[in-house]
Amino acid sequence: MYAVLPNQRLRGFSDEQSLDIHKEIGVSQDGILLLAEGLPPFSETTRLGRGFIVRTTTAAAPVAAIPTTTAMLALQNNEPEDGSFYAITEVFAIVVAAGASTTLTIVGQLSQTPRTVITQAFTPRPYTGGTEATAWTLANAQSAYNMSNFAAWQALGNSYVNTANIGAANVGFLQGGRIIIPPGGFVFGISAIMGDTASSTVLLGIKWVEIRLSLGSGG
Amino acid sequence: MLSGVARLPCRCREEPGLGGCCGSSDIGSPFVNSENSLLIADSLPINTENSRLGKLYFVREITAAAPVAAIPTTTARVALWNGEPTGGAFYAIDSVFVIVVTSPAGTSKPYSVVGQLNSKPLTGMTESGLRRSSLTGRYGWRGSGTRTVNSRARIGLGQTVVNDNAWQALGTSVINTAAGVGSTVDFFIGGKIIVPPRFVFGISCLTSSATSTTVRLGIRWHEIRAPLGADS
Repeated sequence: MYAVLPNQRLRGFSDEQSLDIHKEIGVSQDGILLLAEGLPPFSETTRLGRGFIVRTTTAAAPVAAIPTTTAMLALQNNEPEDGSFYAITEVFAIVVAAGASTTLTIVGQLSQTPRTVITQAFTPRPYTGGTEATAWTLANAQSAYNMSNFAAWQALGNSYVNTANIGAANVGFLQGGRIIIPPGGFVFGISAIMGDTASSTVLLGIKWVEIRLSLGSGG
Repeated sequence: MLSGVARLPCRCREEPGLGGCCGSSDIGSPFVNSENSLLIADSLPINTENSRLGKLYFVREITAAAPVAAIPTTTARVALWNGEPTGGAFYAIDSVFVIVVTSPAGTSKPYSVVGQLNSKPLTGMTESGLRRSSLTGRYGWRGSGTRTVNSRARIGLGQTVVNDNAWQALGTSVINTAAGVGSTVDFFIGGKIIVPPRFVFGISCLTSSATSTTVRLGIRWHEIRAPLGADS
């Protein structure tokens, strides 16, 4: 098995090594194909697809318990039914104000059926820069959204202990596409839970990539 | 083209600012590095393909209950029983999580999750009726009209299991501070634990003292139809 190295200087190669040569792909003595990440782990998904972030713009009080129906930030996939899926890559919360020393976490819920179009309250921004996000995505995002609570709220990461009276703490929970919002109006919502809700306020955000794929036949 | 995978459109023609897949560098031979390793890059977020392919479900307790103050013996707080027939799909545990619902005021306490995969199969298990949900919304997608997942799994609550002395830590504990709640643990197992047909995987939540504490536990799992190795 061979791979072709083009006649150009490659990252990590000397000029001599970058000559136009055929180079055998390595296999270990145990028959294991040798692989190496050629890019930082998230670069290719951002490069290939549409990577976006949306964040609330006004800090709001977190909740003191698992929500019933209200998501502090909701993201809707408004692609047509045969359009792109949204793979959730990360959720995050930034503590703007805090009272007592308290824990901070994020829980989330994915609607199991399409929902009516929600308000577009926050502008998505692309990972790759630029300000034309509203022309590139059909996502809508709003705060205080009623999820109807069909699916259970689930933990999305390990909570963090914030120091008393100090803002600027945050949590960022990598999801890596584990949760996928189908097209056609499905909604993913998140809320922040903190022990102190009287003095604390947070900003919430969701990151996702938009990918053309099809759900498998499993199930 | 892979089955079930649509070719990505050439987006850069429509959206020049995004780069995308239209450059000449997208078509060519694979590269190897100076150590003869094939250079690769993930074309999807790391968990997307597993979610896309099929049966990824989760359950979470509806009623909060007290955790335990010691490693369990024969009681699994939440138990997942693989109801597939012999040779059927196995369950690859994706992750487990806990949400602290109540914690005593004025006390800082740790919370953690432990689990055990029983070494022998069970003929059956009482079903709790906990609702299963999909992490892809697949049952409501394209108007299928049903929100019922198609799984033979049974979920037991307070299930008596054999104590195989194999309860293991699942992730790192978190501290809930004295002021209110807001603690969660979400531990990614990534298929490291596999539940064969008729076997049961149970989890429980540990804390230093169960007094005045309640939590809700959840399990996420993939149902995969593939043979297990001969040594399994």
